[in-house]
Amino acid sequence: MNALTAALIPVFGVIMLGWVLRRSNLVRAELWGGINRLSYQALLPALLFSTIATADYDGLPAGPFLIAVTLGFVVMAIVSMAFKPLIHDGPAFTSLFQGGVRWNGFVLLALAAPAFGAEGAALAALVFAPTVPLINVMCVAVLSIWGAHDEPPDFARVARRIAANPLILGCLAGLAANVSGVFQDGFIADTAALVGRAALPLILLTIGAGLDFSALRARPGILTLAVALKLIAAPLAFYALGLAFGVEGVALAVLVAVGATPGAAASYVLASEMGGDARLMAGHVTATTLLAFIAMPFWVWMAGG
Amino acid sequence: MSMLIASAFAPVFAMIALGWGVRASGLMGRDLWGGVNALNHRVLLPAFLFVLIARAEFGEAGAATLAGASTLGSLIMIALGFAAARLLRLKAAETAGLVAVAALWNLVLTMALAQRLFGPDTAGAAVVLPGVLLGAGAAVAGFAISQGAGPQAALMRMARDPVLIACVAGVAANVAGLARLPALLTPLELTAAGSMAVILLAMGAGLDFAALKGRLRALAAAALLRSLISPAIYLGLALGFGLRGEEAALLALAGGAPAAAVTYAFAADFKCEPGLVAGMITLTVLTSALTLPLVTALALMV
Repeated sequence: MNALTAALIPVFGVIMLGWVLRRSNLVRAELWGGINRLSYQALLPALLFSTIATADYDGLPAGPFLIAVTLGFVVMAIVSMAFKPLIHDGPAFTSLFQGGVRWNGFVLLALAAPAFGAEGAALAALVFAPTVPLINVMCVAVLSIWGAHDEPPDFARVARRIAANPLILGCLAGLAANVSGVFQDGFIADTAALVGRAALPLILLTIGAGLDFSALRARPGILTLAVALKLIAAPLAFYALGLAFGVEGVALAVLVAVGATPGAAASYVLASEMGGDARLMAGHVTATTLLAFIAMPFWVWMAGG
Repeated sequence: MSMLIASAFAPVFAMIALGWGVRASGLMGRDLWGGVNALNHRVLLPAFLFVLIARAEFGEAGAATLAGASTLGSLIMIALGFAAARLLRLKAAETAGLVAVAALWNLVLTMALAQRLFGPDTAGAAVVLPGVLLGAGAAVAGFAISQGAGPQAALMRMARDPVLIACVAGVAANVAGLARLPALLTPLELTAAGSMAVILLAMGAGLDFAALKGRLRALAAAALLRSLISPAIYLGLALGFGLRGEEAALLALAGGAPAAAVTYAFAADFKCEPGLVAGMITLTVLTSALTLPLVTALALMV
């Protein structure tokens, strides 16, 4: 059993535990909002801050890695847009677009340290800073054009939300601490590390709680295409970009793993708010979450990780 | 020594303060914490206890002594809770609350501090297991009986409590050697890894300063029992049993920890003075922040 597969087993187990807890009503559906909020507002920013602030980026190809990973999402946006002439249903197209572009970074964060070591975890945490605003802006733009809305979307509210995204703030604070050399140990660092330790188990449980198997029957043709975009086209694109920019070793494995991560639950929220096909999005997140446990080890193995 | 204590305690109590700040600032209002509390009680705390107990080496030298001292400590605190309530002429429901707070200490805070002081492999299960079983047993039995629910209702509540089920399942897994099955334990370990921080944050969010108004005698008795008398008794027991260093500090941490947050859930279940219990928990968190570092330092010095 390689390191990635060994790391995937507990991650998959915790996701399934989340699903069982919600399905069995041990933790009822309406209670997950608070858990999600705590993870997103406090725990994940603390984890990103802690990981990035204390990471040693000397000797890591952080520059080429970040260029390749950012371009990877731009390429996936262009590839997804190419399917617009084939899909006349606007809301369904927005879900295909989100499915092709969005990634679930938390699954990768949970795997990165055990599968790729400390340098892999450091690189995985870095991805959030440039890509969270980029992906959100692209998805909001597509939803505002092709989403179904009775009233025009509130761009100011969406822009405020992107600017105040706690994940971006956590990354930027971590980068500032890393560069300036402050808060790398001592009281603040210890507290952030302790808080951050809770992030991944909780977010994995919420991913499981959000799985919706009934949504797998929504628009099977477009769903299949969106899943293929996420788990076949995206890893290939990230792999090709990695090779083009001279990314190799652990960094290349992490880059390909970014491409092969499942869809993000945030896409469902955005689709619900901005007139996308939310049910199709729920089906995409569920299908890619399950299939990623085959796709991720395969693509990382292909990349030589 | 003082630096070691400060660096161990500051982040743990900072997390409690952070939880309070997140709730009080409205960033995450009281209604949103319901799900977090449910997850804590039904999943995270049970997962933490199951992993701790399933992996424990109960056959190691010193484990039986630690368990014996912890058992005796719990029994003494139950008796003192009753005695104090009688002395203060508290009503039956208030007595149940005082006994519960005196006997059921916050194991998550204790283990978080122990791990920060002594590393992740601290052998706390021998102290935790009797403490949880006796403390939770006394709390549930007290609340049930004071409300006229009877011993059968108390037994039913205990039999379906996730925390107590996890303790029993952990012992069974330990005896059966299931700790050697990574496929079973690793997902639970990953879940348990997050439990401490979430429970401490939720503890902070649950602090209820409004509940500190009124019934000062009962509140003061709870604080006195939990933060002064209990640590003195546990430290005395440690010394009496010949325990020193890390083992003595473990017992002192258990003795001086604030009341367990789960006590509020038990009180609320039986509609037995949940407001008073919330006040007692809040006050013991504050008083233990003052006394616990001192008691721990003392335990490490003797």
